[in-house]
Amino acid sequence: MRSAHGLIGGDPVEPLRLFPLRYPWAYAHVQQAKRNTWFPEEAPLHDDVQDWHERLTEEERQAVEILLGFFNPMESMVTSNLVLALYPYLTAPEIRLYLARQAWEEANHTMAFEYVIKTLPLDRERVFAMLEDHPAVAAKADFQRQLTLEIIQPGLDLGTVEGRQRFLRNLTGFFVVLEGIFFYSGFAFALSFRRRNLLRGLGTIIDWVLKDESLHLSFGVHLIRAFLQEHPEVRTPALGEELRRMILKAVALEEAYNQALLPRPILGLHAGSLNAYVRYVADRRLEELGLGAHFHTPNPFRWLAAEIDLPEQVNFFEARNVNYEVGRPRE
Amino acid sequence: MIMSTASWERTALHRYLQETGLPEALRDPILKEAQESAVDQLDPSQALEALLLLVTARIWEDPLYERAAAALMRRRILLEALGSDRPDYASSFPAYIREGVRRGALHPDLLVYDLDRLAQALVPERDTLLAYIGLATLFDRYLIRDPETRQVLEPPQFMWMRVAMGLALRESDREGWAVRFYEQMSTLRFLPSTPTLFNSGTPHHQLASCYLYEVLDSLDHILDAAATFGMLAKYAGGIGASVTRIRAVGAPVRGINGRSGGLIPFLHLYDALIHAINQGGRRRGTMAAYLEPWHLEIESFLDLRRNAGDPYRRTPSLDTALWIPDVFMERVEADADWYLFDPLYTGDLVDLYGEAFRRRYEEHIARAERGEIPRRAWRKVRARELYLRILAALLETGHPWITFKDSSNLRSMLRHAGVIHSLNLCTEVALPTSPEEIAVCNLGSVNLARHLKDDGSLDEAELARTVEIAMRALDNVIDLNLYPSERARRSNLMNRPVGLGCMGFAELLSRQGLSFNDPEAAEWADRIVELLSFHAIRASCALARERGPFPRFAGSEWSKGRLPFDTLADLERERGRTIRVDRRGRLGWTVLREAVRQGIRNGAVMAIAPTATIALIAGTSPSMDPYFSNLFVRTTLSGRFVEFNPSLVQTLKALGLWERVREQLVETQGDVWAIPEIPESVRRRFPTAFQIRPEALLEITARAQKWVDMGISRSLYFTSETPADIAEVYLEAWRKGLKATYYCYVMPRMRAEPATVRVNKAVQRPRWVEAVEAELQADAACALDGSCEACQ
Repeated sequence: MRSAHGLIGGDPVEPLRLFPLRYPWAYAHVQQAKRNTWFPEEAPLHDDVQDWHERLTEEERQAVEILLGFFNPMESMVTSNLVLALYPYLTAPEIRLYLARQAWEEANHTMAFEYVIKTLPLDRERVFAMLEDHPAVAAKADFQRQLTLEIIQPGLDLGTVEGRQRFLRNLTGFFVVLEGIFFYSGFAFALSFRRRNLLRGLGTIIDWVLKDESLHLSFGVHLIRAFLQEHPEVRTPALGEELRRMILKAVALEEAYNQALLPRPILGLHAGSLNAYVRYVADRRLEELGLGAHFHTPNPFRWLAAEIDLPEQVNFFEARNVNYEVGRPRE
Repeated sequence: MIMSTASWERTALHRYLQETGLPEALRDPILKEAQESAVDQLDPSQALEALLLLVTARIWEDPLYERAAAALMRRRILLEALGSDRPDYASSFPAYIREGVRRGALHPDLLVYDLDRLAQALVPERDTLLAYIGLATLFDRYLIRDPETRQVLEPPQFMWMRVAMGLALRESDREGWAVRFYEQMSTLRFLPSTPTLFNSGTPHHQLASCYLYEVLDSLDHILDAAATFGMLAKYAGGIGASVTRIRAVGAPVRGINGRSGGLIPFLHLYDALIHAINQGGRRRGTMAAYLEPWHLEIESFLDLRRNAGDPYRRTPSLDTALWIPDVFMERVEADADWYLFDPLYTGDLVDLYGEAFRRRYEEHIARAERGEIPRRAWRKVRARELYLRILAALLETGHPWITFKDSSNLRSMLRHAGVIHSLNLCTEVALPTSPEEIAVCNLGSVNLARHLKDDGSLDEAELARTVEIAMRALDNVIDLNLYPSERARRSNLMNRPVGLGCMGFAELLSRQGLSFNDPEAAEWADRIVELLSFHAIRASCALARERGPFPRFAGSEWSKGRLPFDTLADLERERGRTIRVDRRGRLGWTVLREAVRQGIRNGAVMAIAPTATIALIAGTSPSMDPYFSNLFVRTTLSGRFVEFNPSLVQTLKALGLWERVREQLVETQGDVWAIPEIPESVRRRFPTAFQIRPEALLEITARAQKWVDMGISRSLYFTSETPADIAEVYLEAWRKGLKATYYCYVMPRMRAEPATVRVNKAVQRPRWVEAVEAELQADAACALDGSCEACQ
């Protein structure tokens, strides 16, 4: 017989017994994740290397280095948080199944950015050191690190309202802030190159990462909602205010990062518009958490419709079609 | 950094934007963004590019932005090519030709023309016929550039004339024909294929699109083929190669006392080769490998495009296709066994088709069962199981394409010239190959949408004229072409095949108020392709009277007074079953039959190619394919372009609905069926490609195929999830006598979170969550005792 626990509070070393499902949405996320499986080497980077040599300006190259220096380690911080902070406490089997899958995906993303870093002729030492050396990157990393530490430091007790609130803060910080804000602004930056028909291989990797992150974010929103349903007592005005402040703080960090990323405009993009996009995305996250929009900024990047939103028909002999899903039933 | 509005208004960019004719309400947001991003502080060429980025970002909001982007792009090209945005075409054209020749970008023979006379024929206003996506494509890859500086040397009208001159070089009335070819191209009524547009009039005039090659079973030949593929790919030729003869893994290799590594490592070699040759950044090297499904390594072949597994047994750049004999489909229908063989022992099957293939295949089965073929070299599987595995690979990787060996051969007009061992890269060209002959085909397509009168009816007289001129241009290519291989030259001069096709069918239907789902769509396909076929054959007969029939005319089906639709009977006879397709015709075929018997210039006449890129240049829908969606992005080497179904926008604007639903169009990914505000009568007319019944597409193709002597690239679109769901569709394609299918598009179940439209995940449930929940419920209802159909 399956234990009657909710999301948390089960025996953390009990083997998974999936059925009957209590959280079918979580199982659905696992199923979809399988279909989205991809591997970095599927994205050819030959043209990107050529772009790097022939078409990118020095400023653009530096900005891309910062982006890679941010994404590569940050993906691994999500993995750590999943394994160290969430998996021990979230004991519902289908939730754990997804967390395990997500951990693999984050590791895959880390490897994907390494694949890019090791293929492009950039200064690898500098990129790998970005996390320590670049203040704006370091500040974002520190923000996430604190959230993980809050959970793994001794003394957390999910039996208390305060403990569960701290847990919810972590969920929000990773699923909503990191995956839903920090990453999204990075995606938009990277795709601004593809919009100019540059770095298309990186663009393909971003497409896939973005699809994965959309799934993580969707899972996160479902998870937070379910958590609040099971533990309505954590939903205090004070917590709401705290989450809101956390998101606004994250926006400030991201804006500082964007300034460092683009001290001067590049073709088609400047720090001001990137910041406006961050605010637009942050509003969306605030609304999803039921906290109400803060900035009321319209989306400045109308071009993202063509990069992300619209269905894509690929001229197959000119570009590789990457829209197939795998792992369907074989009959 | 931001300049004041007053000083901004004095900039050239401001003037440019005004001159696009964009209404003020649409111009304002662009101006605001241009000021915010300090576009004016960039150097002039970058500033124009930045402005273009701002305008193209909004094309999905209103097609008027597309017109504005086209105007800006035109200006950009003129500035770069001629140094002025108000140039005098007539005076600059002769200078362009002379300078182009001097810089080694154009062929010196172009200097024999009366350049002033040609310059007078140029019509500068026709630049405005080109859409943004067309101009951007031309600018990025088609327009001739200085070999060193990469500066663009020709605006579009010069390009059309340059191509026309290249095609008329051997005409006695050179100027007259150059002008006629120019007229057809510059009005976008007819476009030759990409290699012709790239290379006509240049020192490297490789003008043909397709090469068909048969790889033999020897290391010598496999490596020799690689060298040839490299040269073909370099000059923009796409390759279709039959690889069925290559012996299977484990087969003995004489001379080295060893065993063969089989087919797959060689395909990997070709993959790497094709990847290495990217045609100077203008087009990728491309090749499709065709395998017959009785090859012992068929399962590994199906895995070639998968995204996991040993990378040395994968071919990410090579396209794969199956060359399926009727026997296989029959055995799938009958749920019978299917035998796989090492071609080392059954290689003769490669040269057989129809009844002869069936007989020999059965003999090989008997030999195998009697132990006359080594046990290693054959295997028995269930045909249906293999079929489902093929379809599973197709759904997951888009490959292999499904093509039909017997209908391709039995419906060929060149049966006397040899066996067709594969189709070409895009599955529309069907020509015989042999160890001595590499088949070649050059293609061109009529833009149907440019042959409508103001009242929307088809201008048949104009269409006939276009076809006539087009056929002459295509026939000229055969003699003008720079052949990368002697075997290709010999074959092409013997058979003189050309492939006339069409594009803009979806646009035409849309303008008639029809959708692909309507039965009238098949009637239109039938009528139009009959016209194309009739006039193409007639034009080729006229050319034969002027220039003589193709050298292999004697013995061809043509020489017996037969016409492409007559060969349907041959297919029926060998298959022993009826091909259910309407046989009516409207034109004077009896008279034409007599003309054909006297002689025809071209051994093959029609092939309907995908026209993926030239349709963009022509500003219409590709081939006979539907609009992918009503609002979608097309990804090409030149970038990503937003496209609409223009008739839908027009209709919605007329109904005053456009502003209200455009954001919803993004949200629904161009699916108007999901927008209740749009009246049912309108919705019905605008399905996405995925909402067209595959059966309707097959009927349209079968009706067209009946008139076409070579083939038709037929892409299919599925929302279905499982191989079993689409199994019937491909069986039906075969039953209807199609020669091939092409791309298999599958709608992904999940999309990334949209960026420009609001989606609150806390409120909306994703489609795929609902799908899995429904599956789970269905599972829960299952009694697991085999009592319901799902378990049968």
